[in-house]
Amino acid sequence: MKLSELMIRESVVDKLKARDKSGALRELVQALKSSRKASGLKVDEVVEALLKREKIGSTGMGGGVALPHAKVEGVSTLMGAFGRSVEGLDFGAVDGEKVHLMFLIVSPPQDANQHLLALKRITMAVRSPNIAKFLKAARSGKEIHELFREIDETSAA
Amino acid sequence: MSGGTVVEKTVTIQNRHGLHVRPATQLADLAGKFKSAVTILKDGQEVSARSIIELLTLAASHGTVLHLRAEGPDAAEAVDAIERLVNSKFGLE
Repeated sequence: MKLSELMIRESVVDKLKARDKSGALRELVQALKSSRKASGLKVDEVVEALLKREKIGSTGMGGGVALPHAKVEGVSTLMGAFGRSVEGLDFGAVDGEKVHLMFLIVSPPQDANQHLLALKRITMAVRSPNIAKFLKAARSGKEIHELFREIDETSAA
Repeated sequence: MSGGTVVEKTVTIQNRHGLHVRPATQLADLAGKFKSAVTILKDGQEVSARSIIELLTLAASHGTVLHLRAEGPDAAEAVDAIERLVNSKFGLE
């Protein structure tokens, strides 16, 4: 699984406008919907599912990275979107730090293994402090996506 | 680490959806409560049990065998507690 294909260029939001968690999630789901031409995707429902998941425990995993995710009925394939908040968002992350990098995953309810592989692909990248630093410093969505492609070339997962 | 006992154990992921974010978070929380350092090995990959991010790099699906290795004063307790958590299917099923 390739990060650059999981998070396609059109689904990269380099400057999230929202200043809170639910607003940021909505922005990301909208980016996902338009980039994947998933006209059937119900934004409200997906945002609600994401927030419900966050209530069980924040997906802010520390180091400024969050992995909001939801399994959604009617979705036929796993899709991702990436959002960056320059100021950082209060996400209730495990380390209490603000979240700057959000990797959204929306997947079909039954696809446990694809979901695990997507999590692996993302965490293999962000476990390296340099990658997180580069993603924060990138000047545009295009640069962010170029980084994803470089990550794909240098580490197989 | 001084005076560390090493305790090892093998566990199998039994919950249907594997080691996704929620179980990984539970496991990292639990591992963080012990003084001993706990590492998890899978197919030559070795990660710290205290790091959610590292645990997720394992992509451990249902049926995956993980090798636990703890080193420190409470190594046996740490390994036993993690084994119980894994065998409980993380309370998710």
